[in-house]
Amino acid sequence: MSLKDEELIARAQKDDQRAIEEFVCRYHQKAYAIAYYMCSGDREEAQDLTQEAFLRALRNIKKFRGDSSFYTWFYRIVVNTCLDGRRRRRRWERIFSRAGEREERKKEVPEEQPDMGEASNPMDVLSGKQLTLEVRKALMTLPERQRIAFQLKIFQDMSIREIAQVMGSAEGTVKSQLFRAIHSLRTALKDWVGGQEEARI
Amino acid sequence: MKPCPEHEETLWLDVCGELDPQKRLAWEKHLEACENCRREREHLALMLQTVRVNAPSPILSREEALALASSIARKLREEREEAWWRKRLFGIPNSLIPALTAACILIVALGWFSMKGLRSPSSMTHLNSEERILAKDLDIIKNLDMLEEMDTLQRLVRVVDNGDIPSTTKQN
Repeated sequence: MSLKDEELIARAQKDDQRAIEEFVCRYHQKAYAIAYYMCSGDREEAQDLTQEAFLRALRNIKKFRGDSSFYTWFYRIVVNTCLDGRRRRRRWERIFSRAGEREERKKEVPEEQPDMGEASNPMDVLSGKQLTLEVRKALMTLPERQRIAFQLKIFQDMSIREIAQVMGSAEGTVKSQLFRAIHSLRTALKDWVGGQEEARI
Repeated sequence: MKPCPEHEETLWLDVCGELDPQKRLAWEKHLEACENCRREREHLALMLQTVRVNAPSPILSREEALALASSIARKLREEREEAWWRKRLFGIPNSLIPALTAACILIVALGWFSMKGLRSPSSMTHLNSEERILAKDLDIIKNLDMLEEMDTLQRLVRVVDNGDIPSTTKQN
């Protein structure tokens, strides 16, 4: 039987090893997904930051008083860890600017390629792959905070209030970041989504 | 075709699933009457669906997840052991280490300055003229015994040169 978050955290606060394992097991995919999009699709960096976020959370778990829900508290740690990590990385990239440029070029094409499943028509597969690349490129070109707001809303199904808690911003700010992100994506994917719509009609 | 500007926020909130239930009825009425808003709503909903489908959250493989979990457990164990040893060896809590370091630096700095202060009086460059005279007098007083001895020696040389030996010396 799986424990509720509150019970799990209460046990983890008492250094219960099994509760800590369960906590990592329960949250690692979501934490990794957040880190992945915040790291512009760099899998290794995302894994490192996920690990760092878990360590930070577990070091401070005794300080969690339950004022907010546990997952918003944890996601906030994940987001802050990723922002710190990105800042650190940018600083290094500024110092070793050539290496930074190389990395940026590498990142223009996201690492993961989609699995197109059982699609039989090669043209569909090709256009599907192209669409996936376009969507990811559009997501990566969003400013950092807009991308976080959009990602937490659309991929993690969080409410605007929860996103505001995670990002440490006002709800109005989150709303405007979210709307700007949707607006940018709408423009970037205009041809693709418009085409799909026409095909559907 | 653009949606009505006064309904733009409502439209986006609806698409994001954040529309206040109290406003929904009026909004749905508006949608029935306004084709532009209706189309834009459909377009945005389709766009978000496309993004969800084409950029799904990446997943850690089973091996990667296990490696992550074991790495976290190992690091936590190492941190705990390190903290335990530090406590046993030094008995100093982590929070006091910066304060102790600052105290050590302060002691070294004070020590260095006080040593410098002790060494400096030997040179007379920083003294004013009165103090220099006093210092010279002090030197004379210190060497007074030696001066008296010098005086005695001079007298003895004079006596030997003149051949005038006092009677007390002869008796000895």
